[in-house]
Amino acid sequence: MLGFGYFGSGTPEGRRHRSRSLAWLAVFMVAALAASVDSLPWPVRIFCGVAVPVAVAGIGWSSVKYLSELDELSRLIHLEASAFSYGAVMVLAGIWFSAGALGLVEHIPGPRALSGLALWVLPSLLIAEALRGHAMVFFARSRR
Amino acid sequence: MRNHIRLLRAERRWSQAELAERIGVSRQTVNAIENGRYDPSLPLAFRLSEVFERPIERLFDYRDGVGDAS
Repeated sequence: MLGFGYFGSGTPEGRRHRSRSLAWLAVFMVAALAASVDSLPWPVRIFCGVAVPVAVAGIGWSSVKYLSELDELSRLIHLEASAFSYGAVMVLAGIWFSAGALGLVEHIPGPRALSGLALWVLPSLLIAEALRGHAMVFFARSRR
Repeated sequence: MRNHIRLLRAERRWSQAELAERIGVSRQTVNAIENGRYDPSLPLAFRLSEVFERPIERLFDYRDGVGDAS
């Protein structure tokens, strides 16, 4: 539900999207973990480091392909939900940044945190995806 | 925008799923159009016009309001 929304993955295009996304997600996980293993030779780590954004692009490509296969109302609902959820996460990120700049929170991901693994990206994506799933249900119900 | 889709579909004894298949959208989309919750795109409006063999202006009534105009 969270990943594929109200119209579900029961449709052929939904199942194709799920398979493609899961394959790219597997590439992402393996590459992200391998890139941070110090004992691996540098060429392998660089290859894995490049594979991480490629995998994210692959998930994006799969989503675009999925949207192009949907009918117009389903596509509109997906786009509305994505705009709402990613917009909301950007607002949250702005609030977090301002709170950190004003000294209201002790730790924000500053340059030092970014020098290591940018793990803060994953929770923000999870929040956005969870919001997107719920927004999709809301927007779909508003048109029933 | 009001429309006469539900009435025209009932006259032909088509289910929402059947109409959806004829115009190449999901049943939810047909339901949303009939209930006035979604205004179809111009290409979809032309497909509806084609399957009902009526000009577009006989299917849709551009006035404020929702739901079936019948």
